[in-house]
This record gives sequence, structure tokens and C-alpha cells, in this order.
Amino acid sequence: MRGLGALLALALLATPALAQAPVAPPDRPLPQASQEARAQAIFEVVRCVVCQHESIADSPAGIAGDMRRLIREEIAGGATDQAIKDDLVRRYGDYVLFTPPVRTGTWLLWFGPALLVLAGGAALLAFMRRRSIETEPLSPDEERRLADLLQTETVRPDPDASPPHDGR
Amino acid sequence: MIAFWTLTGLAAALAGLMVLTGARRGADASEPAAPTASAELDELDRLKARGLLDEEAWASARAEAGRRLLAQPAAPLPLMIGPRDRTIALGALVATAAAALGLYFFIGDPGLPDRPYERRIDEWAASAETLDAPRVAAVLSRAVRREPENLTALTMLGAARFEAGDPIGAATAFRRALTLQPNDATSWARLGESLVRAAEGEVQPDAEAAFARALELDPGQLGARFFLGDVALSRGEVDRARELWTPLIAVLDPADPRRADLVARLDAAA
Amino acid sequence: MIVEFGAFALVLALALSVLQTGLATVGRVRRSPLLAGGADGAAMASAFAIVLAFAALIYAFATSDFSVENVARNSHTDKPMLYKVAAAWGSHEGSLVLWCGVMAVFAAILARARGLPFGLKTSAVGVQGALTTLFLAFAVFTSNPFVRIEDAPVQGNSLNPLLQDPALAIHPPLLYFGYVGFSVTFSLAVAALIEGRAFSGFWPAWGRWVRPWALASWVFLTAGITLGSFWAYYELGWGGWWFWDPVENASFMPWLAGAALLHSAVVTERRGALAGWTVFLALLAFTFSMLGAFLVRSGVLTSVHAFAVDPERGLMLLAILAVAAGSAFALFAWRAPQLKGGGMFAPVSREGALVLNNLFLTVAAATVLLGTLYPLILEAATGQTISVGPPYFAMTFTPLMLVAFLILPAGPLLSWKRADARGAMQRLALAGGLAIACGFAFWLAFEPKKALAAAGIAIGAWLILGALAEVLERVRLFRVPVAEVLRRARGLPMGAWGMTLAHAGLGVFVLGAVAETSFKLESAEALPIGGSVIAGPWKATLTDVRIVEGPNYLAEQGVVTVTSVEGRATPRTVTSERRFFPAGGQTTTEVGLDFRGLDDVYVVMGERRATPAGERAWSLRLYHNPWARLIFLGPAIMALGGVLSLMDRRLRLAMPGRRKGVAA
Repeated sequence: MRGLGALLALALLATPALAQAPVAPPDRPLPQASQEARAQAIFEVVRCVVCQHESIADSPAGIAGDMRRLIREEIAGGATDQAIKDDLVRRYGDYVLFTPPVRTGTWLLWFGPALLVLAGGAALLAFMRRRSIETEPLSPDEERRLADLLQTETVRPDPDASPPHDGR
Repeated sequence: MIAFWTLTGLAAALAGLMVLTGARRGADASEPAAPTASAELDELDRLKARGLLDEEAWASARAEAGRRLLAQPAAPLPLMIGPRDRTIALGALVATAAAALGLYFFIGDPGLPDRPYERRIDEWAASAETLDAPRVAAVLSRAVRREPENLTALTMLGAARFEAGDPIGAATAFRRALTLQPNDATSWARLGESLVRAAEGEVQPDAEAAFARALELDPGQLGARFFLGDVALSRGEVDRARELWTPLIAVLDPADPRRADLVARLDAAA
Repeated sequence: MIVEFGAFALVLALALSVLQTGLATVGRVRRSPLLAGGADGAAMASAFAIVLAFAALIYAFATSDFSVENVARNSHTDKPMLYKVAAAWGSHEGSLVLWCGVMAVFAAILARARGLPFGLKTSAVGVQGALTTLFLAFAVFTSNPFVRIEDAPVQGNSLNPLLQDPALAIHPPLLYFGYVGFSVTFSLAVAALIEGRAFSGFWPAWGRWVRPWALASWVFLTAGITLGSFWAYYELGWGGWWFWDPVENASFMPWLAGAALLHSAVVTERRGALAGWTVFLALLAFTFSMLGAFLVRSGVLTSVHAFAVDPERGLMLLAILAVAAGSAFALFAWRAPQLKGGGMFAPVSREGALVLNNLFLTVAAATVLLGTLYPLILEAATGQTISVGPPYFAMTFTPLMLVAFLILPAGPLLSWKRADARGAMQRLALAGGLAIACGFAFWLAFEPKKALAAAGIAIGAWLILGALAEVLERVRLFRVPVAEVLRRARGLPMGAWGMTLAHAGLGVFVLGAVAETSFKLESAEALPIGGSVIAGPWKATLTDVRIVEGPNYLAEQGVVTVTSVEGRATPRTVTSERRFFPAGGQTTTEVGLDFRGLDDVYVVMGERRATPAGERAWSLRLYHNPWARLIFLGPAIMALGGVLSLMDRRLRLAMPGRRKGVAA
């Protein structure tokens, strides 16, 4: 590896393909910490519209950088979070927010889980109420028939029966 | 071909043997021990023993289970091997083998040999004169892997990769060659050209540095001259470009259109 | 020769699976042990053939045989051997062979099981054979990995560099063992529906046969998902570990259904109750597995993990899903009304707690399903496009789970049939008090103060302490002499330890997830060499950037020194890389991770750019991820708990047995 370091530093640093990766202009955080925190919170819930399932907080794509800049500008301009989100929805549609809107078409989405829990719980309660959990003890006749049934079975040691785990 | 059919025959025979062994084992075994009513009642006893079921709950759970057991059919029908079962099993096995073979003829390419990469390189190396660039590059890259210090092989590899349309690979090869022989002007120039090709014609700083080094070592590197002059011209350094290109223009045949082009560009810039 | 042999072995495996199904069906109808034994043998032979086929495929990849189309499309000679081999299951075709292989091997294990009644076992082997036939036919006719090219290319296309990672090389096999493991619970469930109430004492025994398969599959899925999540964490370079991405959801749904199945099978085993529900869950778990395979490969959903996408073949998978799940659920609808019976129980009882657990887990699975498919359905129905992402799941899934976690520690303390709720609460009072104290201490210790996070921490602590309280209660610590405590501890079945570990592991995960989500800090800056960036208590200094040459990539490697802002911690050096793979022209990120106690300091070097002064600079992102280690440690503990439970001898029953005649 004679002199490899120096050579590589000279010749390789800007390997063309490395340098070719599209470089988005760097993010400039807002000067005020509270405003920047608001911006970050919004980035988390805004979808990068050209990417796969990524928020603009995560995406390296150029458009995500543009959207981040836009949101920061609006925050600096005094817009409320809701106004910014509304603006984004106007521009890109509902698709842009990771929080789907609550309207007729999405009621099932939003309230389905709660409905399922309630329905399931109600069904369970009704089911439990309806049944008595106590049973009459076996009559002597039944005891005898049961003993007969057990008798006809192959008699085999049950591996779990001994030794008893008596640690409850 | 023979080896292939031996192998397939062997695999098919082994598979058939497994099926027949299974059938024989099944025929020999009696009804496997079935879980029984007592297991369910024993479970309740165990829960009670561990304090997970109190006395009263145990009694009532036992009554539930007991009644359920009494209500259910006790013994299943007996098992039996019918007179035709052996014929059915054998017939099905033969049909399976035939189907597998038929389907394979439909889908596969029987007897087509494997083409492991190493063996293909051997073949290419044997007929080196008639090869195209990518294959030459493949042969050479194996040579380089075997002899990493072989300078000739490295520079040839670079050239072959460049020809084969792999400028990044070419640059890597030239770079390795230059670590072995840092004063090889030609390799520097070719490294520069590879980098320019990789950057789709743009002369970036590292390519420029490579050309400068080439020219420094050997003023006769005409390619390097051309690209450096090109860069100088794009920066508006016409004098520098003229200085670089004059020797180049001098050696070009007057009839060569490239010569006219260079002269015209210099004039246009001036 | 070997490649062609592999092609033959694959076709042979398909033919043998058909034979397995046929012999099992005829054998079951004629009640012939000979034919049923033949089906068992065919299952073993099919597994044998497909293992040979997979070995041949691996051979083709290892030798870079580009006359095989699949190898030419997914491999490259410059790749390290590990990734050449891993590429065998990195493509659609290869992974399908792996899927079928796991299925056939499980069928062979099922075929060797002892102690199962004739009818049930034969039917299960038959159903498993039918499933294998479906998937193998799909592989052979539409996705044959052994298709040859007349004119082999000089070089291959390489594998997606994101997948060239050790964790991702073993993640798919783990995941497939989990997904496909549920095919056995599916087959056992369908067999149970066919056999019905064939004999007395059937359902408790059936619960016991299903449980080891459910448990093993769930353990594999847990390990596979955790590994996948860890991969996303350090390979994507976003500092996150779970994105509620459709593909992640696809693997999470069978996990949730499997977890529900594990618990409901206990009720069926011990009390003969909930038989219909357990059968339903056993069918559901594998249905979700198949749905996951369809979603991941069809490209109907966009995802960062999307893999081997091909809409046309996706449609075939949908057809397989419809045939397999459709017929199974139709059978269920027909037979379920006959599955009544089983032990009665009061609402407050062990059974009651497990039923509640099932309610929450299945609704959680349904929520994930809803959130994953709703955008598709809405768009198809109305043309409106929406995105369902993390905020939705935070508002629906998370509360559901938190309520379930509140109830969870009480379950193991309740007795069967009818329990004393007050007694259980008294025994948990100390654990509850301590958990609240933990939450309060956390609230005091961490700035800024977040009440929700503190509540989350209290819940995590509650899960751990509750699990601990239950074990201590069982061994009667402080109430009987130490020797007696030890004797009791030794006497506890493995399953009990497994359950305790799994529940505690869940608590560990909750602690990590809450702390990381609430208090992670991130900052990014363009730094020249020597510059630093600060996030929370950590300071990262870019000390050097160098070029490194990998086997098949070039990388810019940033050397970063991490110290604490106050300078008290020992400085440590980590490296982060941007790798460029010439073969595919793609760039990947390697994250630098500095493990500090439970926290991760996470460094990502980005593109090169210039500082305003024109100096050469690199964008550097620094994350402080508090307690991030617990996020991956928790599931590892859960998986370990599952393994311990599997070792419980009560569960070794539907597995191949040596002790003939003893198994029950």
C-alpha cells in the first residue's frame, strides 16, 4: 500500500459518481429553538410526495428539502401549524399528511378500532352473562359411565402427572 | 450428461424409497396412541394441585368436562389396509416419477452444462485473440486477483475496462497501477480519461490533477494536453490553452479535422 | 449439470407434494395406515428434493453461473461470498424456493410427529401438502429460479446494495421460518375442522399440538422482525426503527395474530374452551403471512422495504391467498357452529384475562390491517388518496396496547374458572406502587418534563415488576425458607419462566420505545474537517474523511470522534460511510454507532458540500437516542422467553417423538 493514502486523497476524493449524487441545498434551521422544534414536529407527519413511505424529516430527496424550507419559511412568517398543514393539503392533497383527515370516507378507518373493541367487549359480556359458570356435580350414574369410559382407554402414564410441579 | 442422469435417477430413487419406507412403517404401526379423555380430566387435577383451581371450581369443571366426554363418540373406526392399497401407493409413485420427468423435460434444459464463472474465464483465456473488451477485462481481472502486483496486467485491465464501458472500474485499475508505479505518465493520463468518461465528459478536479501529473512526467502526453487545454479554455485562460495545445496542433496531420477544430476554438476564444 | 439437477429436484418436489396430498386424502378416506404412511414418506421426500434444489441454487450463485437468468439478474462476481450466497434468497424466485422449502421441511417434521391421532395427522399432512403444492406450482410455472439463458452475459446485475448487509442476509430466512411456521398451525386447524369432534378429549389435546408450532413461529417472527427493524435503524440512516411502513405492517400482522393464538391455545389446552376461536386464529395467522407475502411482492403498496416487486406475479399470489384462505374460512364457517362447548368460566378468571388479551391483540392486528389497506380501498372506491402513517397508529394502536399492558400482569396471577380479583390486586400492589414511583422518578430526572412519557415508563416498569412479582409469588419468596424457595424455583416448569421472560421483555421494549420516542435529539450541520455538531449531551467532531475501497464499492468514510459536551465521557471514534456501488450505480449509508450505556450516539455522514466560506464540508447528522438499546433488547428477551417455553416438555408433543407410547 505504498503511498496509497496520498494518491487516493488526490485522485479519489471526488470519485465522479460520488460527487454526482444530487446535492440538495443544506437545511438551515430556524434561529429560534421553539420555532425549529415546531418545524421538526411538522416534518415528521408530512409525507415526501415523490418517495416511498417516508416523511420529509427522513427523506434525502430534493423535493423533501424544498418542502422543509417552505415550512420553515411559513413558520418564520408567523403561520400556525394548522395553517401550514392546510396549505400543504391545498397544494398536494390529503396524501401529503401522514394523519388522514376525519371525514365520511375515513370514519371506518378512525373509529373502526374503537368500535371493534366495544363490539368485542359487548359480545363477551353478553356471552358471559348468558351462561352460568357453575355446573351440577356429576350424578353417581354419570360417574360410573365416566369411569367406564376411562377404563376402556389404553392405560398410559401421563408424563405431566408426575412428579407434580407444586410451585403452583 | 451421464453424470446428470445418474444424479437425477439417484435422487428420484431415494425419494421413492422414502415414500415406500413411510408406507411400510405406516402399515406396520398400529393406531398411534391417541390422546384420551383421561388427559383432559388429568389436566384439571394438575391445575387443582397447583392451586390454580379451587375445590369447588374443580368439581364443576370436572362435571363439565365429564358430561362433554360422555356425549362424544368414544372410539374411532378401526384402521385397515385395503387389498388394493399397495397397488394404489405403487401406482401413484410411478405416476409421480413420470410426471416429474415429463414436467422437467417441458421446463428444463436436460444436459445443459453448468457455466461457472471461473471455467468461462478459462475458456476465454484460451482464445484471447478473438475476445471482445468485456471478456478481456474479465480474464485480466482474474489475472490481477492472482497477481496483485502485476503492473502490465493492471494497466491492460484498465484499458480493457475502459473499452468495455466501465470507466469507474478502469479508474480503479489505473489507480492501483499507480500505487505500484507512481511515475507512469501514461497511466496518469488514462486515469484522467477514465474519470472524464465516468463523469460523462466533464473534467472534474481529480481528473484535472491526474492530467497535470501526466504532463509533468511526460510532456508528450497528448490526450492530457487536450483535456487540460479544454479546461483552461472553459475558464477563459486562452493563453494557457494556447500554450497547451500548440504542441498538439503541431503533431496533428494538417488534414485531420481535429486539428482544424482546435485551431478554430482557440481563435474563437481569442 | 448441477443447475439442471436443481431444476429437476424442484419439479420432483412439486410432484411429490402432489403425491403427498393425494395419498393423504385417499389414505384418510380409506383409513389406510399404509397410504397415510406413504403420504408421510412423500412429505419427507419432498422436503429432501427441495433442499437439494435450494442447494443447487446456492451453488449456482456461489460459482456466479450467469447462464442462470436469476443469478445474472441478482449477482455479480465482485460481491463477497456471503452476499453471493445470500442473493440466492434475495430475489423473488429464490426467496419463493426458500419459502416452499421451509414449508416442505415443516411438513416432514409434522409427518414424523408421534402421538397425533390418525385422522387428524393424515388430514394435516394432506393440507400441508396442498399448501406446498400451491406455492411450488407458483414457483415452477411462473418464477422458476433455474431458467437458463442461451447466451450467458459476461457480468451479472448485482444485488440491491441495501441488502448487502449481514443482518439482512439472515433476516429473510428467520422471517420465513416464522411466516411459514404458521402454515402448520393452519393445516392443523383445517384438519381439526375436518375431523371435528372425532373423539373425546380432542380439543385440549389439539391445543397442545398447535402450541409448539405457534410458539416456534412466533419466536422466529420476533427475531426476524427485530433484526429487520435493527437493519432499518442502522442502514437507512434516519435514526428511526419503526416507520409503520406497509411492509413492516405486513410482518407485524401475523406476529400479533400469532401472539393471540399462543394465548388462546393455552385456554383450549387447559380447559377445552375457546376451541373455535383458537382455530380461527390459527387460520388467521397464516392468512396474514400470505397477505404479507402478497403485499411485499406485488407492489400495490409503496414501501422503503419493497422487494422483488412484480404486479403480475403478485396477482397470482393473491389468487393463492384467495384459494387457500377462502376455502379454509368457508370450512370454518360451516363447521364452527359445531365447535361449541368447553369449560365455562367467570369474567374474572385466567380464561377471562386471556380472552381480553385476545380481544386487544386481534383488534390491534385489525387496526394495522385497516391502516395498511385503507388507502388502497379508499382510492379504489372513491379515487381519494390519503396516507396513513405513524400519527394514525399512535392514536389508535398505541392506546389499545397500553390498556392491554395495564391488565397484563394480573393475568398470570388469576386462577382458572373463577378468580379472586382483589387477591391478585393485593399481590400486585407493591409492583404497581414501584412502577408509579419509577414513572415519577423518570419525570423528575428527564428534561423537558413530559407527563405522557413518564406514564409510558411507569407502564414499562409495571410490566417488568409485575412479571417479577408473579415469579416471586410462585416461589413464595420471603414466606418460606430459602431452600424451599430454591426447590420451588427448580420445580417451576420452563413454560412459566418463558412466560415471565417474555412479559418482562415486553416491558423492556416499552421502556426503550418510550424513552427513545420522547427524548431523542437530532441535529445536522455541514462540517469542514475539524468541525463539530452537538445533540443533547453529545458532541461529534469530524476528524477526517478518507476514501476506502471495499470489495465491490468505493466509500467516503468519515472518522468522527464522539465526546460528551462537558467532556467527561471518554472520547470514542466511530466511522460513518457513504458507499457507492458501481455495479448498480447506487449509494448507501453506513451509520456510525457509539454505544454509551443504554443510549446510542448515532452518526450519519451525508453528501459533500461547501461551507459558506467555500471550504470543503460534509453534512453530518448526529442523533442522541436515549435507551435505544432496550428497543432491540426487549424483543430479544421475548424471543428467549419463547425458546424457554418451547423447551418445556409439555410442549414437545406434536414434534417428532422418540418416546413411543409415552406421549399423550
